[in-house]
Amino acid sequence: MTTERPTDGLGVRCEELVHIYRTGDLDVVAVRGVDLVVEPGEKVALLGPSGSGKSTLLGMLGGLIPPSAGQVWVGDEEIGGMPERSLLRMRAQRVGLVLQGAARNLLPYATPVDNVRFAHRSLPRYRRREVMQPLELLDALGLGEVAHQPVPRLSGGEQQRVALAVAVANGPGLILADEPTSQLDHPARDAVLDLIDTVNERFGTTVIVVTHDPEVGARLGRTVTMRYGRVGQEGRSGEQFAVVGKDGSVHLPDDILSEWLPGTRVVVERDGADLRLRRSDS
Amino acid sequence: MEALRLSLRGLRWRAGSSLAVLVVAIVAMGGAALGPLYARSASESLVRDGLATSPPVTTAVQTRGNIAGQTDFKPDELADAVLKRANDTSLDPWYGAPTLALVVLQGSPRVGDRALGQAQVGWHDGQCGGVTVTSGRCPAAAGEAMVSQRTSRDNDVPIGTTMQLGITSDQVADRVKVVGVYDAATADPKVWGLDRPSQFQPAGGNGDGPDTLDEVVVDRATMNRSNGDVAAISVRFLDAAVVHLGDVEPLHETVSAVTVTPDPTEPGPRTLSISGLPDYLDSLQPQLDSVASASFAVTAQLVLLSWFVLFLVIAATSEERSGEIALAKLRGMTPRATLAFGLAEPVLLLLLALPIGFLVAYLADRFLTSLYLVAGTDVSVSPAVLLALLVCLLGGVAAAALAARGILTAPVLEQLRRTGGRRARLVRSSAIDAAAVALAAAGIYELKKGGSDALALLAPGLIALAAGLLAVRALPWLARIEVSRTRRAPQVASFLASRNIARRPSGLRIVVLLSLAVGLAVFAVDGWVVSASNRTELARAETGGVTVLHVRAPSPGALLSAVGSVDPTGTQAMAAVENDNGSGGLLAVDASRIGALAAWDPEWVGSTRTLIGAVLHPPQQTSPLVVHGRISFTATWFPKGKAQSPVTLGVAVRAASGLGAEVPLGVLTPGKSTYSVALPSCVDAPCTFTAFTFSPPISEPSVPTRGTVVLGDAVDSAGPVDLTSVGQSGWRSGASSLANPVAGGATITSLADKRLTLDIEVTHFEDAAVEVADHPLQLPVFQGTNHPGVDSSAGTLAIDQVVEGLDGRFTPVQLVSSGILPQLLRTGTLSDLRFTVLAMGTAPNPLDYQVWLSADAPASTTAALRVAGLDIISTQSVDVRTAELNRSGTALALRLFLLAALVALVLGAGTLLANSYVVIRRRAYELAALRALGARRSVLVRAARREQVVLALTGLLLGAASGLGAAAVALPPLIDATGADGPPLWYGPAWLPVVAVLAVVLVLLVVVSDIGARRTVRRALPELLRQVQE
Repeated sequence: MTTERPTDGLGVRCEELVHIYRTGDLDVVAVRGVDLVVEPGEKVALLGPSGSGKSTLLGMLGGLIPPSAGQVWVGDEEIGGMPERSLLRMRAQRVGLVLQGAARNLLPYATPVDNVRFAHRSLPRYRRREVMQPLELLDALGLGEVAHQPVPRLSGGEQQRVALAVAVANGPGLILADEPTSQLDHPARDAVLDLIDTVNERFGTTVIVVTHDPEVGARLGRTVTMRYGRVGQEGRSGEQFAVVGKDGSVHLPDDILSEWLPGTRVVVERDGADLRLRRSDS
Repeated sequence: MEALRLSLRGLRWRAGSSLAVLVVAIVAMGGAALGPLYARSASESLVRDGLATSPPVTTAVQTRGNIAGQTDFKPDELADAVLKRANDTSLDPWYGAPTLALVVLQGSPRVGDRALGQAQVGWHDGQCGGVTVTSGRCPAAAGEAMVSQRTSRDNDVPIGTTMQLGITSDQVADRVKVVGVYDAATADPKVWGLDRPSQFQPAGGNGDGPDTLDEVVVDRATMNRSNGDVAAISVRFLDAAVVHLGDVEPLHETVSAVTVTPDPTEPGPRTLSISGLPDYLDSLQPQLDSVASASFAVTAQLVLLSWFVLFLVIAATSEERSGEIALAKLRGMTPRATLAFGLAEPVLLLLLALPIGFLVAYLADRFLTSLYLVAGTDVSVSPAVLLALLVCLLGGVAAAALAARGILTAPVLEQLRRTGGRRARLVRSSAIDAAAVALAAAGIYELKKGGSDALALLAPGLIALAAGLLAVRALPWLARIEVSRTRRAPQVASFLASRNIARRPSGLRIVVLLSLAVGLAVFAVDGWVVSASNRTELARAETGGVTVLHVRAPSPGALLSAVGSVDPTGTQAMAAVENDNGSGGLLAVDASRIGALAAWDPEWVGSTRTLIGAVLHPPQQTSPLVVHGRISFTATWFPKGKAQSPVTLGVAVRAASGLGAEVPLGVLTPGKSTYSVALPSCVDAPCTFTAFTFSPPISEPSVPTRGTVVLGDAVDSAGPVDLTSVGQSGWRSGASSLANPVAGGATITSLADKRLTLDIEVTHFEDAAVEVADHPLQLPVFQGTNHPGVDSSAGTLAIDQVVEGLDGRFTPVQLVSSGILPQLLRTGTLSDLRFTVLAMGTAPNPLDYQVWLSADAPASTTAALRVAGLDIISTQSVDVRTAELNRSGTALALRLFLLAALVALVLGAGTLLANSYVVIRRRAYELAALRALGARRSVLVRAARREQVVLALTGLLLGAASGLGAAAVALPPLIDATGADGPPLWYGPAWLPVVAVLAVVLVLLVVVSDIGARRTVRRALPELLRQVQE
């Protein structure tokens, strides 16, 4: 027995999420007070330069990295203090993860079918019958032709799509993908994005993708741009918004920042319900 | 099934490392199984060898009953009772059919008035087919007899002779007619049992007793007529070929039960079964224990080594698979499912290795058994083998679980980054190090206190392990110093090599493994070579000659003559005679030949091959005084003092055969008298005149008698005999006076006009004698270091000493030096045979006559000795004895260890190679990054090779040092156990073989290191980094 929509999309909510890690004698704050809400069924791209904290944020959403402070909700559950066994159960049934580098997500000696079956192993036996069977899933995702080919023979794009297919194998309500389109040419990238759309539309799965690529962000609809461990901007339907932090900080868009160098003094003026920023002349 | 298929795919995908792990696991399993397999075979070989080479008198069950004390029964009834007891069915699995004989041990056959001597008279069931009848026929009815060829010939008993047997007082019933003559040498033991019909012994003592003849064989009906002491005897021979190790206990119990003394109130004739087998089996136990403890020690070390190796290899493969295991956790698998996934591949390999390893061990044991152990030794699987395999398998699974544990518990992302967990590992490994070092220290302490064999054999592994573990603590520290030294120096390869050693503790495990493997190998090779050398030396000393034939000879003189006629050159055969008198024994050898012929080394008594002949037989000035047929002479007696007891004058002569005889001639009467005596033994060949004797009366107390006697006018059958021809120094007081100096004596006062003038004093206690000084008064001898009377610290006689000569009388000796004697080892006396024969006063005791053959003696020598009249009873040789010693418990234990060392070396080299295959993928990324940064390929190869060589060399040197150290501590007790009574022991080290082994291992390690380095760098292409990114 299979089901088209094994679960509804899961919403995600982060409140003042912080992650600090130690390197040598230094404490490094990778994520500093992130507040973020993703609605069920939404597709979100986490954008930002290297070291901005987006992969760390993704790790925390997937239960791979424990937050140092703050709370993170996946669906109705706060996962920050969740025991490891519960996190495993969450990853087995509700959250699908795609790590950076397609090869990391797949058993290299197995076929796509085997990899899907491998993912099914984390489900209880009765649940395995309820989810889509490997061939069915791969067919549904347009990967039927490569279903029985060994992974090393697949192209980079195909491997990435198979990695996505494996992530959705257990019918999760949330897919977290780290750079699923890096190193891919445009047709391959588009194929991956098409697949993400398919998964999202067909299964209603919420998708959060970490990417460097603004085009990928644009394709996904909503973008969250991180900088220095904070959410600096959000964009919806091509329009960009700065986000006011809890401490009152606002990240300026890059094009403005290139003109207004750090240290530039500005005057904040109220203009009715809006604010206006003006460079100080003095 | 799906999981299995996936695991098989994984194994195939990692074919190189899977094969490496499989091979290592096979060798590990095989090594673990081989210990107990070989130990069982060795134990079985010990038992079979011991039983096969033991004399039947030890292993047979003899049942007998005597008519004495139960004369109500007829001999037939007695025989039936004996046969009934002997036929105990519980013996059937191991014992053959019983023989049956009725014998009278001391018959006194005579022909008319002529007494022939003493003889066993007997009937043996199946006797007519059990011996070759050379003329006439086998006795078939009462009143018929058969005699041996020797009896027929020497005692003039042809076929047709009527003979009284002397077995019953009824003269008629005692009379038999000789109807056949048999060849005593052809007697079949299956008929004769433990007896042999060849029983001839010349008369002992002063020659006045009867000879013992070969057996007189009669019909059963004749034996039934006897009213003498008839004995019914039955023997069942052990069939050693059917006895296996598993039979030892039931055999022991069965024979012990059969030989229990029966209840004397049982009705019927009393019979008794006896056997030396239970005691013999008990005496084998220490050797079996030795093999068992060695087996335990070796198996324990091999299992330990196997665990270690499996841990190393499986840990490396698990690390290689850490990405896949992380994937399982990423997919949310439960810890149990992840563990199952992580262990599936190594467990599959271990399960596959189990039967293959067992098969390899089984075949290896069969091969080794056929090569080194007694033919027919079973190769069978004991529970210990299965246990060893199971322990090895479980150890392997535990090693895999332990190796996977860290990966399973690590956070996924940390695991992918390969960080964290080092402190915990460090604490755990420190605990293991401390435990190993403590165990090694305890082992050495116990050994120094005199620990067991098992501990001695466990010590090398423990010491090598401890040394290896300590070294891997020091190595990174030294490597860090090297890193700082080379950081700014141009030697990039050295910098990279030392940096890797400093930061990669997993690579250092190889050092521990190699230290262990090489340590075991060095100990085993050193132990084997040293102990083998000691065993060969012991065999040389125990055997004496390269080949020693034990023969039957009429007398020592006859033996000398026979050997002299077969080998006139004196380079291929030597006569030797041993008188085993129970107090150390006397071995008399032909001193003129021993230097050239002996396998025994004269240096063991402080002499040399060149000198020993002259030391034992210094040149004598006196030529022998010979007499033919009859001798007569005059004796003029001038007694001194009034009270006199009669003194009997006698002469002593020695026949050409070496047999001596003292012949009393009559009482000395004052004035001149002529004495004459016929000497039959001097008719065909001249005799040697040895002494004039003067004896007090035996039967009544006497007073000391003194006087002067003049002996002269000697004449024999050939003419006048000049008693002065030997010169004044050619005569001397008799040896007996020296042995008991308080007694009387004889002094030569004049030697002139062919007359001998003597002053004599004869007491009640002591004869007087003058003898021809054709041999030293005190025989020069070597004695065993521990012989009573020898001051072992000074090597001299603590007291004046006499030893029992070949005739059983005490002979004065002069100790040349003490040491290790041939055959007698640390007790007993070694003398020259010719002198010892000359020193004999009377006929010899029963002696062990031997002919020693050199290595180049032709095969025809044995036949020639038979033709010369020597009957060969048995043969010993250094080779056979060495082979026997090589099959002793300790030797088998050390061979087992040698085997273990070989397995350890194969494991060591295999693991090094396997490790290079397994780590290749992991290291390749790192090296690829260095190549991307511009490092030259040759530099990377050099660095990788240098790193491997440093690790291998460290392991090699540590192993060599700990192996030699362990040998120095553990070998002496093992060596002492087998050779303490033999020649001086050598404790090694055997440098040449040890260095040879180390050289081979070194070459092997360098080659493996080079292959590993090249393979790793070859795969380290910058493109690899791109794959990671994809």
